Amino acid sequence: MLCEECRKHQANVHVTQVLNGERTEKNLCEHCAQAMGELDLAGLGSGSFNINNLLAGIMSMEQGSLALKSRGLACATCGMDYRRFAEGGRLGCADCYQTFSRQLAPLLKRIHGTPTHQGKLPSRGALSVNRKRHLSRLKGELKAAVEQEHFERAAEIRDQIKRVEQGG
Amino acid sequence: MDCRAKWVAGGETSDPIVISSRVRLARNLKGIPFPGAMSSKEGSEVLSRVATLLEQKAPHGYEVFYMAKMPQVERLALVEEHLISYDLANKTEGAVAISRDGATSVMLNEEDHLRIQALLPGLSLEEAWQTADSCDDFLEAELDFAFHEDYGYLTACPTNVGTGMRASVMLHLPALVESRQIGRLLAAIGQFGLMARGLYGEGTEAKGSIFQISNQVTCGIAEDEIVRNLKAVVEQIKAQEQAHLQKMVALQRAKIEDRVYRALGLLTNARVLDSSEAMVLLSELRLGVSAGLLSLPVGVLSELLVLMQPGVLQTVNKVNLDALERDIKRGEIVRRRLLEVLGREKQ
Repeated sequence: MLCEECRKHQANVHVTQVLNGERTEKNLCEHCAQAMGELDLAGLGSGSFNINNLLAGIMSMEQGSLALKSRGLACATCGMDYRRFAEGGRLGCADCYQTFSRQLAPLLKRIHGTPTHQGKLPSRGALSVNRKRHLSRLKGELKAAVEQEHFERAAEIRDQIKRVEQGG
Repeated sequence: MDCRAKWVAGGETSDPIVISSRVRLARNLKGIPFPGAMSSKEGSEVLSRVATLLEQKAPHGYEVFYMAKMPQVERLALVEEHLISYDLANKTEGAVAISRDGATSVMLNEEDHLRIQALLPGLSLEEAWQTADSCDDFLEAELDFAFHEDYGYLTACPTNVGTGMRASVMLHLPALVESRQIGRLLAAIGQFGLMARGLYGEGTEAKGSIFQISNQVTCGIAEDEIVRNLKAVVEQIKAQEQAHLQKMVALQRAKIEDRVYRALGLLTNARVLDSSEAMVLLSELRLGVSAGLLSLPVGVLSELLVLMQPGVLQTVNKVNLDALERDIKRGEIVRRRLLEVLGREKQ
């Protein structure tokens, strides 16, 4: 078979490309294949390998069965559907995290290990998060105090919990 | 327009190995789809809300540049100064707000609504984090950011969720490259949740032995811990680079000295200087400073690293040049600047 690009040399490189779900196949000679590869790398950051492409690749590979079940799933807020997300590796809006929570959970775990946020909280609107964390820490302390039979301390903590809960 | 990035212009650092430190925070406004899915009306809304805020109320004063209104060569210059990303430069909805001191830039409508970044010379990750953090505090007092109780700050790409933080350093590692230790080292840093890239980010090759190292994990780890981790690894890499460099010098001092001074000879005499040759030769000078064989302020080397890039070269000199004219201009700029500082060193 002759190279589909130059039609001069013997084609000995078979290139399969899947771009936005479209599969194209090409038979090229070594020379043309190399030239095309170089073209691809020439642009600064354009179309070259990056972590997001890798991510999309992992998703489409790993989530075969999940992808089937997720077909047709779309975000009510921005219209992003699962297929587009899996291909592009980008979510459309904040609500997508809820819409695709089942698909995201294993992915986030894979990327970040334990995907529970630590660190900075927004100064506004995170009061509930702060309170929740505070409460869970207090409840832990209460349990420990009871187990160690420090009942006076336990009573103090219980009052503290009440105050935090009543705080709204 | 001059160079405005602080790591280039105000670079009083004596560290020849760690060129610059950066902390970037990704943020999105609540109630508006991420840039990839928003309408152009929503895009304009993001721009007007955030740009106005930074221009009119921010403590240090910001200047806003709209991508749609900038010539391509000026956008390229901002990429070369690392003030914006290549992606932003190509977005008509995009803009960047740059602080007057050139230490902070806030990219608008890149992959996320906001990318707050602080960029400083040398190994100064804590300071960069504080700078980005205080800019974030200022914005947060006026804006509601998309935030999830478990996942943290929400971002368009799940690789950035949580802190939304990417801390990185730019390192010059010629001795590790030459002793062929670099591959092993870069592979090892993966085990610390870090990754390495070339000078201009993802997918670019490591020209002039310059590498960027950054954290990979953004969720489940607090910002100061990310900074501590990265700093600890960078200090190790720095020590390794120094050790290998000293070994190289001990084994073949004359040869290395010759290389450094040949590079200096070329850079102070060449009349036509293309950018890859300049990158390589500047890398040799930096190696010379690092090895204690050459006395030159390293800030000047960082400055030249940026001044020689095609976009900056044309923007700073306010001219449009073809490739050959650029190489001539580059030769002139590098030659003049080096002779100027060398004259000062001798006095």
